[in-house]
Amino acid sequence: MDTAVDEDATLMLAYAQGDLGAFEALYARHRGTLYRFLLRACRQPAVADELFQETWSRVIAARERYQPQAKFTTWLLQIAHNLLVDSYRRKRPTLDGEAGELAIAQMEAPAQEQPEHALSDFEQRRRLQRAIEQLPDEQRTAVLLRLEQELSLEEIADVTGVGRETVKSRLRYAMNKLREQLAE
Amino acid sequence: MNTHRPDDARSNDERLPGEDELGALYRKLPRKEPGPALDAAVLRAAAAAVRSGEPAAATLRPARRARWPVALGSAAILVLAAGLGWRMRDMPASTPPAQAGAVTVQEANAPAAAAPPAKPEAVGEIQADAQNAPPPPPAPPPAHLAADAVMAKRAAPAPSPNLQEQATAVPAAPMAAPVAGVPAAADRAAPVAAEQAPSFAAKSAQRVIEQRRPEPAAMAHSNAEAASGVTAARAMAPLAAPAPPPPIDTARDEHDTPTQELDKIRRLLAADRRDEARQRLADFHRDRPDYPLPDDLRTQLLTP
Repeated sequence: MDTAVDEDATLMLAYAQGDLGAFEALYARHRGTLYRFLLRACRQPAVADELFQETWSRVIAARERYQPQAKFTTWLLQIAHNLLVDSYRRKRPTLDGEAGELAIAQMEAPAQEQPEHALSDFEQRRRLQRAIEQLPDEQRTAVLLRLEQELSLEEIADVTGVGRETVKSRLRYAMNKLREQLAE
Repeated sequence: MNTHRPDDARSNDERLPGEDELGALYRKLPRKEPGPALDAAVLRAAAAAVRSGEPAAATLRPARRARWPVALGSAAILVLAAGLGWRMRDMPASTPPAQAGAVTVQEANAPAAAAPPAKPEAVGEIQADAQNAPPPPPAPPPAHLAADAVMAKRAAPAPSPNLQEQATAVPAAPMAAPVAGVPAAADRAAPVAAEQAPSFAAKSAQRVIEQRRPEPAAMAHSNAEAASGVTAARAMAPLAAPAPPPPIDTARDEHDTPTQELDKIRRLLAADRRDEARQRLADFHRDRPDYPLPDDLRTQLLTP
């Protein structure tokens, strides 16, 4: 068990004992990555907000049942993934290409970027964002868990509930599509 | 909960073609963060869960519907059912059983109430019938009729005033005779009718019973009539002085009213005990010389 897992589990157990500061530290560790995963997976800020809040509410509700048998991140992403699948099943309308581009354009760009490179980088990010959005749900989830959360194949398999080879196949297809989109 | 994974799983993981370049580009994407309101909501829920010791879902989700209205409704239904059951159990006890005679009288009144006012010739025919034919033995009322009367009374526990008025007003023709048949009455015809009234009532009741048997469809209506007949019979009970004679009882009784005694004499005649009947009639006339004898009995008295 690595240090991070140890710390997450310790924080969660401390929160279950009533230590609110432990939860605040745990939340600060994972809020960004979890939110980006949900936002890029569902492609709708309002839905991402809803899923993010629901994920944490389930963590809070399950604090007394929590047992550190796995990485806290894996458990947290399992909850988020299940909520995400439910969201897919509800077939909510997603942003079309134009709205997606507008959402990307509204995202803040790093201020230190040079103007001559900024356009090129922005175009590259825009293409990558669009390519990720156009992936099938399962491939998009696998890519995001790999690139955003930096999970291993086994961990992605645990989170999504499929086999390791299935994850590997999904990632292979997805990354090929992304490269093709970026090369156009 | 998942099984624990080795900590170096990611480092030993297989790298996919082009993954490093994609990863580098991905890390340049804007690092969107949750808004302050979202952070505040989550932290507030976590704090509330710690304070109250309740699941945080209760603070983030709308409260579930309370269950107490269901329990209260169930209890109310139970109380209502128990009350109805108690009341239903008490109803037969509170309803006095119909007397055999009362049923006969009410059944006699029922067709009269339903039929138009008596035609004179029909009344005369019935009276002649009553004079010639011996009075039928008063059969006990069929059980189903008594039950019908009770059922009808349950179905219509409070008959409307109109029904009561009809029940008392329409049968006034046959029942007016007993009213006028008080011994002090000067009219002679009235006591005759008074003597004939019980047998007429008995015959009419028998006819009604025979008519009703093959028509079960009309039972409900008849029951209602019977119910109103019961009420009418009760209302008129103080007016109808002579009670129905006991069945096949011809023995002399000092407490008998003149009407009852004359009725017994008629039964003796019907039973072909002529001598005894004549003796009883003579005794009756001797004891009550002022009592006007009915024509048929007067004939018996004068016949040598």
